[in-house]
Amino acid sequence: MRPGRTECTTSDLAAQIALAVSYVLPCWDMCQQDDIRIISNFGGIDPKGVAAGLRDALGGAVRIAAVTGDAVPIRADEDSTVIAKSVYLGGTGIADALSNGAQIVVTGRVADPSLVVGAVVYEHGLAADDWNALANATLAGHLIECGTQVTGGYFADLDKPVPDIANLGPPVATIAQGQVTLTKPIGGGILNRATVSEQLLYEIGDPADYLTPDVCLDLTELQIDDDGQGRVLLTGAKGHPAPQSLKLLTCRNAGWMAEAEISYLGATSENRAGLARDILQARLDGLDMRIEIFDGTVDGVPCARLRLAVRTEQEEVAEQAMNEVEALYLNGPAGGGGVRKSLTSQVTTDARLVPRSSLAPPNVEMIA
Amino acid sequence: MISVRQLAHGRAGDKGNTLNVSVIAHRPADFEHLLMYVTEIHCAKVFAGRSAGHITRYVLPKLNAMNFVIEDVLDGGVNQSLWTDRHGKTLSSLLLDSLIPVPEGADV
Repeated sequence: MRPGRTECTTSDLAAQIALAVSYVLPCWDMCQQDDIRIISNFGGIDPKGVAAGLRDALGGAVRIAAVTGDAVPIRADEDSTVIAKSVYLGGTGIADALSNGAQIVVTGRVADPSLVVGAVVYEHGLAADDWNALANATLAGHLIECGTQVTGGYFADLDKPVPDIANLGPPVATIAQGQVTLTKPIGGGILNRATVSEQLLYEIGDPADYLTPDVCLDLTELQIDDDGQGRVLLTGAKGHPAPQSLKLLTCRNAGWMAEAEISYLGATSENRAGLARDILQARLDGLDMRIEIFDGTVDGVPCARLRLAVRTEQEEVAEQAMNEVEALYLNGPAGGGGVRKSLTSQVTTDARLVPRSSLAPPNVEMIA
Repeated sequence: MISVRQLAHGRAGDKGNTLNVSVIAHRPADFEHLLMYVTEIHCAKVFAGRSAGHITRYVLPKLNAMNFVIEDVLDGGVNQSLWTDRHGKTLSSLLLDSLIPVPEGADV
């Protein structure tokens, strides 16, 4: 697909609707039966469009809310590479949607833990400045935002075995005043102090200052109690006032990424991969590129696989770089094979802070 | 010498061009030793080949854990990097495989 505002938008919407439907359909009967609400940021860049698509897929008799206000208009004087701008929203719009009776809440860009914070604000009726309670909810959201990554996913190593690793059970967070309890009612995996500690610090900067649109979470006094039976209790999350600014992401078209790989097999494979690297460096001199050589074995036979990556503004240059790897079939060292090529358009994101006062407030719309 | 991995576990995460790697002691008794040797300077040496920028170590004594925040180390981050691992998620092993002195009285 060529980058371009219209194409990106429409194809994104169809993909987003398909994604949302694939998540909701399998569990929709159960959710309706037990009055379980669904909250997700699968609205992508068009929460209303996704909400409408979801409503149609579910047959219409469903209360769906779209939370918008994350998208920031592109000004006429901005450069033409800018394709989208959005801020990270907090949980308040989600809480409002739930108050309106939404069974499904579809959002665009929302800080990951805020998906949980919205539910807690609604359920516990939290005040907007109840910082410790918001911090506790944010802690819960942070711990379960990657699902099974807290119940044995992304954890296994020689000295850290994970039982039934192919069937990890999802976590459940029970949020009460000043504490979060994590359990794993079904499935394989493991939930203990170690898995929780790793996920706690995942994608964290200063642990005293974890900022979301809802609150500033301080983890430094946190205590983790593991009962040894798969129940982990966290206490001591502290909250400070939410930041006055929000994080704005500007997405830009940024040219092309070309990747191509080739394999060499046998005792001198590493040497021949090195020769291939020398050839590519000579022929692609001056390009913004990286060559990695993976040395190892395949089925016990020595093997080296070379990977070339090139970033460029020009599609023809990207194509040419990939073709140089393919040309190693004819012009490179002996016995090369298994060439794979991949060309992708690139979108970069720049993050900066903008004052809340400069932004429109979040909006909640029930999709009829 | 002993690898950090024998005394601790950890996980890497990314935000833009910044990487974080946690180092969590398996046993509380080893935490002081890890604090003494797995320093910002140690981390800078480990990531020297990746042209790491500013490094900050945050210590969480109640969790026997520390968090290293390593700036400008991801070749522009997940949307720009030329590395196969554009997130830098595999880089936790650089720190976990690095070597420090054996703790006194350790049975390793």
